[in-house]
Amino acid sequence: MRQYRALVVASSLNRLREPVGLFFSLFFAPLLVVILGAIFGNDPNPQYGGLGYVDATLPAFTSVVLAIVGVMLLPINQVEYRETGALRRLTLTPMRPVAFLAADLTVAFVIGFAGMLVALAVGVVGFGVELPDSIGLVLLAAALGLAAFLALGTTLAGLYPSTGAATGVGNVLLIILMMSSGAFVPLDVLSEGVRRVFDLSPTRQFVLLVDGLWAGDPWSDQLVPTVVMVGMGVVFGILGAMLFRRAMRVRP
Amino acid sequence: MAVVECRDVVRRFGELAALDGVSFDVREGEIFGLIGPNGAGKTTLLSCAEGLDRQTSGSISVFGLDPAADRERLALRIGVQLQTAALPPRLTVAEVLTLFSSFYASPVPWTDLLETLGIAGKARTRVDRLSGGERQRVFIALALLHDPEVVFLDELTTGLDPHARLAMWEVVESIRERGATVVLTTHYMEEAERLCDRVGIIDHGRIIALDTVPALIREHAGDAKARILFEQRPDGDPGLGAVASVTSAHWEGNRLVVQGRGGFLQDALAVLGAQGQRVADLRATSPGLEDVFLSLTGREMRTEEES
Repeated sequence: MRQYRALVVASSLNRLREPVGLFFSLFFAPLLVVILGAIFGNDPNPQYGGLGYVDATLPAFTSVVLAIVGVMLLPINQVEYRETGALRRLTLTPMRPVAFLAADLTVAFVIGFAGMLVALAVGVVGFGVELPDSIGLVLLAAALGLAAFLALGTTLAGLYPSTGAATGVGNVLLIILMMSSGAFVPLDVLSEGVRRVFDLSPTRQFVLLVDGLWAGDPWSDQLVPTVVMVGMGVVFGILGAMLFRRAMRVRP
Repeated sequence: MAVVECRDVVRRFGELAALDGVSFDVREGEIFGLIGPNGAGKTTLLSCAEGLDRQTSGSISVFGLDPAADRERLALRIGVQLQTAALPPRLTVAEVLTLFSSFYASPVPWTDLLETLGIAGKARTRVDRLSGGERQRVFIALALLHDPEVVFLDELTTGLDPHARLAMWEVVESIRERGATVVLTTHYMEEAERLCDRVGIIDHGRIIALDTVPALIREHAGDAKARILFEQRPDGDPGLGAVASVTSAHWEGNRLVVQGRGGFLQDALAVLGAQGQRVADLRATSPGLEDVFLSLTGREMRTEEES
């Protein structure tokens, strides 16, 4: 526990002092709310069922944070530890590898969740969006989605051979995940086929989940997205842990 | 008592045998050096002893434990400075030492360590803003945090300026004074000559000689050499052939080149002085580990280093 606490402190300081990563995890999604909100305004619009643009899309902005933290920041940070030799140095101490991984995930989770809260707060404060009664459930779903994407990120970290690869592949994945979330592209203009493909995207499933809960639907209506999130968390969690253990092991 | 025991250690990377049957013991309390050109296998050997890598065949034991299998237990007894290592870059020295201290039950107070290592003033500096020498000291501090019984130092002074290197040598000597055994690798011969009680010369994955520095030089490096310039070149043979400690004497231009062992120079000068010869200039060179390597392999270590 002492190790875990010390690692959380060290990992937090190390991340908070990295301006680019901090910007992307904490301020990119809120900034996107501000920019898109400024472009489209928040006046009632029949296209959004009488709601404004920000009213209708705000919960979906949390998916941007998920994608950034999950496929970019977490894996890049872990690959950097591996690539530079910092992880190797740590393995020469009695540090338990699981404490390292747990601390890293904790810090990524807290920063990611803070980014989501800031994005929502910008919508509420800046554009007068009213929080639904179900905000507690929405945040719970956001936490679930974040956990699922952190599991994905741990698996990606185990697969990326270098930080260069992590950045390159991560960027492509990030764009695909953001586009396919359906939050920022009017789905009506897309063909049936493209929409079907989008439905396979984890960010799309996440957006369906938070949008539904935000609209006041009971969670029991969100079976598919919930199963997708939990499934991602379990499958990638196990895979990621296995890959991490392999990375920590002595070469045969 | 042997702290580290290597027996017929082989480490293959595909076709290449980075270690090709290495055997040696490191005794408690000594500074043991592994020297050889880059790529000779020094770091691979240390990695296996540290438990970061595992030999393909043969055995290594540290305090009777298998480094790879008992890494966690050994982590409490060995201190390691890696040739290529990194730290979370945006932490300060103090933050890094606090983090690493949390891994041990009763760590040495790190403020004392920084004081000893002469970097107490750097505690609040971020590790990515340290100079090469300061970084190395931080890594040594990390290696000493748990007061280890044996310390592995890999190319400790590579890339340091001469002043920092000298300071680092004092640090290594102070580690031994604390009672720890030191195993170090270097490709700087003066470093091995200055620090090591015993030296293993490693080349192409094999130990080609192992002994104390004076013994290696005596055995392999040949004689010391003196070039003498006289105020007036004496006529004929100066008669040094009769001096027992002198092995050869011949003229090169107007200098007399005398080779020999032990106190040959004093003996030769005594004979020349008795003849009334006055010496205008004298240049003496004693052979070093560099010459030992040259004599054993037919190659110079430094040229190899550049290639």
